[in-house]
Amino acid sequence: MYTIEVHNLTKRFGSFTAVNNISFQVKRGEIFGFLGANGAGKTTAMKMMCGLLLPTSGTARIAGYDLKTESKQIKKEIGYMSQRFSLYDDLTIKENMTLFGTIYKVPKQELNERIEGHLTELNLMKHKDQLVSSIPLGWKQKLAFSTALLHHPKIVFLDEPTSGVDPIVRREFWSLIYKAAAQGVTIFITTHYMDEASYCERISIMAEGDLKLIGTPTELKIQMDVNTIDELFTHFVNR
Amino acid sequence: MNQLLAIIRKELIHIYRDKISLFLMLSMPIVLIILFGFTISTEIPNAKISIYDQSEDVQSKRLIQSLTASGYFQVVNYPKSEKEIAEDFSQLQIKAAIIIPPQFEKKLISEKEVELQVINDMSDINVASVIKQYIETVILNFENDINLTEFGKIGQLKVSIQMKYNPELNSVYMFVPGIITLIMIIITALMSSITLARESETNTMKMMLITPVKKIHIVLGKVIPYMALSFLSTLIILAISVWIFDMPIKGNIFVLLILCIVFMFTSASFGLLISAISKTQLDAMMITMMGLFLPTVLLSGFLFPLDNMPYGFQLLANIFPAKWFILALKDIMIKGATFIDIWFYVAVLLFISTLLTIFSVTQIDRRRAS
Amino acid sequence: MRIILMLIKKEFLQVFRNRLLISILIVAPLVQFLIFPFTADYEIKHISIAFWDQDHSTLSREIIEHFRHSSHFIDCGFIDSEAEKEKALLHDHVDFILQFPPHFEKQMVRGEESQIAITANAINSVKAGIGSDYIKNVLTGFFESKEEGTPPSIKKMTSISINHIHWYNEKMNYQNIMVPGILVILVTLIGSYVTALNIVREKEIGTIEQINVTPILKWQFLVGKMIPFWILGMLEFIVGLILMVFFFGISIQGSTTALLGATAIYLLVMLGLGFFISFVSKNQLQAMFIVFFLFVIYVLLSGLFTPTEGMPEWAKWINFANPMSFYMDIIKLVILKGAGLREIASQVLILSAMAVGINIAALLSYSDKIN
Repeated sequence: MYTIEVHNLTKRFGSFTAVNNISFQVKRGEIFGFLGANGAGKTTAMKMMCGLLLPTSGTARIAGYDLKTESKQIKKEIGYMSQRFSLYDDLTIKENMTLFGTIYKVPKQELNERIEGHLTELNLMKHKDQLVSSIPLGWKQKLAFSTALLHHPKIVFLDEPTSGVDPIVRREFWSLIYKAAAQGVTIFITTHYMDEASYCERISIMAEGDLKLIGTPTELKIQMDVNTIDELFTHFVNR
Repeated sequence: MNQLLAIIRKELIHIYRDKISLFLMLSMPIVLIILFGFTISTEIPNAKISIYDQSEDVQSKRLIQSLTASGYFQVVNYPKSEKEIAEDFSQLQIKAAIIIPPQFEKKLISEKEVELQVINDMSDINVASVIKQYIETVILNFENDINLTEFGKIGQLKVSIQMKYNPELNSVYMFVPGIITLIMIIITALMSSITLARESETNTMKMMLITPVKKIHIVLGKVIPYMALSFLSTLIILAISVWIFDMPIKGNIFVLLILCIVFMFTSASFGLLISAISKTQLDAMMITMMGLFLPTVLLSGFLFPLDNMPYGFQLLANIFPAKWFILALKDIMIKGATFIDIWFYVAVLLFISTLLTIFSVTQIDRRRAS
Repeated sequence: MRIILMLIKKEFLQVFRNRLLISILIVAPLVQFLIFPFTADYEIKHISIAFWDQDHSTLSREIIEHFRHSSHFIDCGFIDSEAEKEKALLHDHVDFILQFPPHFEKQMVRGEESQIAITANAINSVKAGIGSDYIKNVLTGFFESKEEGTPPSIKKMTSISINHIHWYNEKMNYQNIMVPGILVILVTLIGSYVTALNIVREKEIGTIEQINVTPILKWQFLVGKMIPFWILGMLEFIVGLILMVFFFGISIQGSTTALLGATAIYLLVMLGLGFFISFVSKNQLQAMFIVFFLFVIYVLLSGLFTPTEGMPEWAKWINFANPMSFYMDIIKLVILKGAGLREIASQVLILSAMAVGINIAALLSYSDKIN
């Protein structure tokens, strides 16, 4: 029922608490927006959930596995797209996808079909042998997203996937997200674009390490007595 | 001016934060000096040898006595055949085998002429030449003893040897200038080129170029801290050489330091050039290592004598500022040369600096335009 | 496994697309082989002497002629005064000055002591030391070669001459030891330098994060990187070996198989070291510094430039942790002294132990979680 369950997750760096005792759950197939200002602790929390960072305390169950003891299994079931583009820019589009698909143990024949499917959908088939360094940012982001989906993960973690791209590309990206969600993939996405927040089914807002709010956009607007998500946001960022 | 200071301050913070690199940068000169100073020696203690005495008479035994008493050798075997000698080489790792021919005494006394055979292990030429010298010394002394007892002081030739500029045959002179050169290249040229390349790699350079900071301030601000560091290292090297290795500095120390500063500028201009043509830090590193550091080590004359090299290489060496710097440095330290004596070298260094700086500026402009 | 093959393919693709790296991989060995052996020559070939004859006698002239015709020396002519002597030495025009005092011949004939003064330009201390020995030898040789009767009191003295026979290196030139040494440096550089920067770079640009998120096992990642660079290193070695044999004419006296096997293991040590450094360094600069630092220490202590026997005790102890010194031994033993696997067994064992140790350390230092 819940693909992500987080209990009292905390991360301290020395005396600085980046993530303070957060707890929440995300349902299967949900598009969950993890919002917050820069430095609020979103990326830190996400990295913990992906197994990239060791929590100071707290527990989590990701895709049904325990974060502390079954991290290897978790990795098989999740996909990740970091804030900074992290595919290999001295490899071609196809080479990158083949590399990661192989690492995730997608069988060869199957892998080729999936890659072709994604590339066709993205209209990148004729560019498949181009070096990633030479393609525009928008294509890179979509490529990273597709690569994260290659092994049919249960959850995909996206860290500000649309920063730096123009609105048209952002819209295209979101249609990809909807498509994946429709196929049952849980989407866990951080963003600081307010309009994107409204595309999510549920959102949460982090500020200074704490999870301040969680609920559907509509619920939260009513709860905080504001009209726009923007105002929701500034409520917590206002200092 | 404030801009410049701000950038220098920023660079210093960067340097300070990377403590490991800083530590390595400053300790490298010390390590180099210790290694060069203590390990590069021309002595081989307790060299293993075998002696095959085919005479076994009074004089041959006296010769063997001289050899063992000399303190140079450790006689590990007295083989009785050439085959045994071969075994001694491969199993006992002897460095040389001395073969005393039969009728040694007779030949020595009545014919006054005898030939010894010495088989040398030449697989390490450095070792072999030292061993040869030891053997020749012992034999020469043995021979002199015989002649002295026979001839007394008649017609005795004395030879006096004066080692000018370096009475103790201190090999410090050879490597200290070289180490100073290398450290300057590493700290000034390499580090400058890397920090400049890093800014363009991480795109922070674009940000800096947008600000009102003048380009020249960016460049200077990045290079000056490293020049200061290399100057500090040079002082450390000189201090160690003078106090621990007793290296005297005959000339004027201020002239010496000015020369070092000039070379720093030259290194910095190399760093500038390399960063102008490198797109990434990795590139900058590799180009500096292969294109500047390696040729300097090989061709500057500090490690390998220039006279022995083919003429083509000697010409090539002239392009690299290290050669001129080392010559000037040695002249000041060892011969007490004054500024007038080294003006030519300084001129060459300044010429190279200017040339490189102009070239790099054109490169940077061309890249910005693209 | 499929994953490892994929990783190997990835590394090779990246290496071959890196034009600078490729040019270094090709140029570096060429430079080392074509320049290094010709520059690294310590043999004192040319000693220049000038003469100051204050005696102008038959004897002094004879001695001077003897030197001028000797093949070891370059004749720099005559000087006449102290000032000229100073000048000649100051401007590096000569290496030695031979000075004959007035009444030299008379004193020698009368059986009195007389003195030839040799002044050496001792800046090059090695040249000064060896050169003065040469000169002394020539002088004594001169007197030994004088026949009985002329001049009367220089009777025939006993002379012991030495015939030096050279084993293991008939050509007796520096190249024989330098070229194999260069092979060592080449293999070491490529092994450790390139790998040290490789992983740090992935850390810096963030691609390692994408890898860490996958279920890939640590050892798979390491092996996938190690194999391609190992192959490259062996290739460079073999090319270097071919150059050595066919271009320099240095043939391998011992077992080539043992040589290749030992190199394979040595490469594993160097690669492991590079990876270890890569995992513990925070950025490329640090990694480069650490590798460079170690490399300089290793080379200087390895016995390539100066014999290890002459080093102080503490240096010899450090050499136990210096893989290059063991490999240098192996190279010399196999190429020059005809050793087979048996003779190099102890070095090979030590290197194997080092290979295992450093690679385990590298694996342990690879944390896919930051703490």
